[in-house]
Amino acid sequence: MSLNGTQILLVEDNQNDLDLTLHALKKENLANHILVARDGEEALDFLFCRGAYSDHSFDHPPRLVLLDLKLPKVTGLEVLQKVKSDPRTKAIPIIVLTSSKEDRDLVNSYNYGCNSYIQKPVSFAEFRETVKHLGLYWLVVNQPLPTKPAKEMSESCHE
Amino acid sequence: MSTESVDPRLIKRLELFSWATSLLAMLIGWLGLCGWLLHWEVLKNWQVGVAKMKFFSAVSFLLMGISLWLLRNREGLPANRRRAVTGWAAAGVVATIGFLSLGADLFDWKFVDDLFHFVSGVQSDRISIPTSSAFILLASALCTLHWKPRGRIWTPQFLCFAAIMISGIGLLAATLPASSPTGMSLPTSLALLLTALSIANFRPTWLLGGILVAKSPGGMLLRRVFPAVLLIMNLVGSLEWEALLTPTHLSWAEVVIVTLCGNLLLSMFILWTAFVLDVADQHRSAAARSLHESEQRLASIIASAMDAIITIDDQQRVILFNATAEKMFLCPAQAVIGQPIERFIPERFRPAHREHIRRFAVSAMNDPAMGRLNTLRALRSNGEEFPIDASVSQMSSEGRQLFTVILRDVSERVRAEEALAAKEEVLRTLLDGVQDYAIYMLDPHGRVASWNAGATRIKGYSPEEVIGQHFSIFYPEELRSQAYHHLQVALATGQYEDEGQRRRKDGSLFWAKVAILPIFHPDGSLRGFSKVLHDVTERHEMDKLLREQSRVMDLSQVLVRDPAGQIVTWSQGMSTLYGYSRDEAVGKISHELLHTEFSFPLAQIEAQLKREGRWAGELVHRKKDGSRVVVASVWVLHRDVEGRPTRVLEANTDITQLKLTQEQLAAQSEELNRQAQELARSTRALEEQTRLLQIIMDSMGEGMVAVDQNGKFVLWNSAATKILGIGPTHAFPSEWTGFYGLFLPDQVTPYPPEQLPLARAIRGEAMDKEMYVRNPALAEGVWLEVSGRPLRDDQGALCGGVAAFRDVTQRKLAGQVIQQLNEELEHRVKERTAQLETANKEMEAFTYSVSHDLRAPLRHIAGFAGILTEDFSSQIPPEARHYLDRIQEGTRRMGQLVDELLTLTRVGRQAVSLQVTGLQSVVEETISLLQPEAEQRDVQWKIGHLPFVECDPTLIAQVFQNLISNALKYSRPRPHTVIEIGQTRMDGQTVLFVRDNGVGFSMKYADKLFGVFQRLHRNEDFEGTGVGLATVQRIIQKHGGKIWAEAELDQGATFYFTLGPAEKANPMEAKAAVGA
Repeated sequence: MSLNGTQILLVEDNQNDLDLTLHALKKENLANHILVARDGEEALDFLFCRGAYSDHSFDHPPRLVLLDLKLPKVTGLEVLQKVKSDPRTKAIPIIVLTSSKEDRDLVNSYNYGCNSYIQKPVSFAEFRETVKHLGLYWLVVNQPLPTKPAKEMSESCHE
Repeated sequence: MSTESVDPRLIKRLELFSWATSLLAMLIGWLGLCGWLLHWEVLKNWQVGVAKMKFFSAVSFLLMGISLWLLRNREGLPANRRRAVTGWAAAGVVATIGFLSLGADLFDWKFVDDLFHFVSGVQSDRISIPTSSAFILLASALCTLHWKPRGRIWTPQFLCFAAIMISGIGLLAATLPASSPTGMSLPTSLALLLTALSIANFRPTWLLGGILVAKSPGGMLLRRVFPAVLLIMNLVGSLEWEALLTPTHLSWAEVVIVTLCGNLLLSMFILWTAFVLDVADQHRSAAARSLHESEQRLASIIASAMDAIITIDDQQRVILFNATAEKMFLCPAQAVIGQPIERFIPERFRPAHREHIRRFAVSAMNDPAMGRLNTLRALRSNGEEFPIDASVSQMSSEGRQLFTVILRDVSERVRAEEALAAKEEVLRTLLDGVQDYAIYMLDPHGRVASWNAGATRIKGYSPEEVIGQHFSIFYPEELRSQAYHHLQVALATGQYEDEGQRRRKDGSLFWAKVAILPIFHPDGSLRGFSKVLHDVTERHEMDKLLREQSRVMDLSQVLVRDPAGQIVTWSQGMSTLYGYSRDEAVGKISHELLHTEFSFPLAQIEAQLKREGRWAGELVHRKKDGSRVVVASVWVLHRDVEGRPTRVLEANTDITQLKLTQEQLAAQSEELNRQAQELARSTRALEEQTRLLQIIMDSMGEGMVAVDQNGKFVLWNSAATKILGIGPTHAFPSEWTGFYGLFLPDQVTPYPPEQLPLARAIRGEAMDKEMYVRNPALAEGVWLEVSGRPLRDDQGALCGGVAAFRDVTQRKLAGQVIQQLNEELEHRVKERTAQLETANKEMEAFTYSVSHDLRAPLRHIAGFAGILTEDFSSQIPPEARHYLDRIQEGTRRMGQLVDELLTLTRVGRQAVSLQVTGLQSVVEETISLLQPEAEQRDVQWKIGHLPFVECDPTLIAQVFQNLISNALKYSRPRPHTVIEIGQTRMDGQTVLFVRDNGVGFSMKYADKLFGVFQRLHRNEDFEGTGVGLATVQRIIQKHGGKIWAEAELDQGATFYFTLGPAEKANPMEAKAAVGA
């Protein structure tokens, strides 16, 4: 899988959650173009095409980022803030997928510009259902931004 | 033809005759048919002549009989349409037979023979021409039987008559010795005759215009003579001609024709005679009837006449006496008829009456229509005399003279006229008796028509002089033209009233009050005018005088008030004096308006006024502009005829100036006097005050000292000595600090002498200070609170200072302790707050961690168990799968529990944001959210009127969501769930409630209801975490309200809660209240 073919960026530190999410995505046949980042830093490296991911191009952003909030090194909120405040990346849809239902998390996430906020349900069946809807909506129903050179995009954003 | 001129018995008989003949004809037809069917020749021709009755003739007779029976109905067609059609069909068959036979005879239609043979199966001869014709005629008669006759023209009667004629020919021919040349057999002819007769008599009233059944001589003639003549003539003719004429050369035809013609002519003649007779009889009976009617009418007129009608003959005997006459004279007609009329005339008028009658008979002999009308007296049989109006007319009848008298009892009228005359007399007398009023009538043109004594007295004209004169002569010359106008006004408006000058006969003028009224005849036309005039000259003079007087009065300063004190009259003089206009003053209470200051009590003045009718004295009043005015006032009481006080007259004269001068003089002398006394008094008062002051000062707890400008103590009370331990000193202010041992609050620095409050007070400064005193005279140091104030004389110049001080040692010590305690408390609060903040932070961190970390492992357990179940189901034994399911269920519940616990803690931490919220919409929203739980269930929602309250809408929604969800949950076993949400008032406070009819609970456990993890039901029965109600309670408490429940096992539960603190203390603790 080439980096530029990535459709979903899954940012998750917990192995168990990672396994469960991937399992659920696989079941829905959505696991083919997934890149997993295990912490906030790695996620930022990928999204900003640096470090280990310098091969990755801004022209090919993922169609969806599934972001946990509780991450080592750089927290999910920080990732969100950075991505949404940079004109090159702010158009990438970010879905916060977390255990927390605390008001402050919700408020902060929305303030930083997340596109959706989903609390991971405890029930596995519900979780499966949630992942299914998520994939269906964002990858099938939702119309993504047309792929553009990053430069143009940043310019248009500055206008 | 009218119904009474016909004989119903005859109709019956003729109808019977019709039935009988018809039956007979049918019988003959039947016999003929039998003859054909049984080949019994005798029945076909009765052994008379050669001709036989034909088969179809027999059939036709039967058919005609049946048709007649079917069409039988008294009026027109039979009601049964089908019957009529059948009848006509039968007649139609007969007509067809007739036409076919006739055709066969005349045109030799062979097919007819074949047809007849085919239909009947009998070989029969053709029906003869006359017979066929007769059949056609009779069939037509049957079909037209219901046609209404026009006059005497009834179609069937002619058809039948023709048929009778044909049958006559047949009969005659049949009796001839030779074979019947007509071809008609005897039975056929007879049957034809009978049928024709039965049809003709079918409606006797229609036949020949009913003459046959008429009672008139015509009818009689026809009934009696006609059959006899025909019978005799035919019989005799037949026999004779058989015997006599045969040898002659007359052929059968000639015989028949002669006979028939004779019959015909005779019948015509008889019929005509009968008709003539009948018409004559009808005219006669009509005349007789109208005569009878007019007699009846006359008799009823006479009987019902309102007037008495009596007819007498020339012998003066009564021959007619009607009902009204009976009533009038109280005497029945039988007793009067034939008796002389004189019995009804009073004795004294009888001779005159006789003479009248005689003269009337002679003079009015040839003019009987002329009546004479005059009023007479009559006598009732009971001897009572009464007035009558009589009108007499006479006529001649059969050589006798008859007098008819029409009488009317006019007692009533006469009485009414007399009463009217009497009334008029009384009225006239009354009018004449009126001396003060001229009352007279004018005709429509204004001429005087009547004149009473008052008129004579007032105007000076006698009735003779004035009647007929135009009433304008009563007007002064220059006003005369108005007279006519006044009448017009009266006529137009129904009345004219005026007060003006009029003229007497002697030319003098006087003032008159006049009223003119038009008077109308009952038919609405003008009859004249009544005029009433009253001489008001005196009153006018009086008015003039009064007006002059009042003008004079007006200039004086006078007011008149009623007993209540209200001003009734306010003279111009008063207005000038006080400045109030009349309008402003009248109606006001005089003492209030003028702010009267009385020199004596008002009650005393009024008592004198009442007693003596007069009071005079001085009063002080206030003018409109507010200035005072002293007046000499005279009050006079006016009483009415019964002695009751009605008015008070008050005349005021301004004596202010006079008063002022007097007062000034008096005041000057008094002032001198007063000054001398004042001096003595003030000396005394000064001494008194000084003593008083010392007493007060000595009794004070505070130290009080005063110094003069030089610092010399002029005042020193005993408390000052007690507090300072030392008495007043003669030392200078700069030495006071050392002398009394005064220190600043630090207790060591001597108080700077120039800063001492008393020292500064001498310099004119006011100040409050605290200081410490320690000197050998005191056992312990004393804390003082000192107030220094400068002393000033009357002109405001400084003249010393005063200091007040008190011992505040005790308070000072207590204050120190309090300060110490406060500091400690503050410290503790800070410490506690820090702890609390730490705890709060920890708690927050904890819950955040719980939110994230406690759920994660649960999710993992559930997830992996789910994967196992899903992906490896084939490899897992069922029991293991069951356990996996239970693992998932357990984790799910744990997740729920975590969520609810988080909610509970969040509610605890969260600040309540109050806003006015409509609970109605909150409840409705909650219910719609919970609708999935209520689906498939019979749930009745009773939502009462809910208030608007100040609360946190999110939290309150959570409360309702918990309570309603519980209500739904615990009423699940009920087939019909009722959930009621409403508000009520308890102890003056609005209480909201949620009620269900569920399983309820025992009140024993009510105190456990709101505890965390406390449950009253097993999880298998009703799922739940035991956190919901705890959360609800926390929310309610955060709102300052409380929540409690009332329930009974199996009887449903009600949760009550309030929002906000109780408005007053309420004893809710008695209940299962768990609240703030």
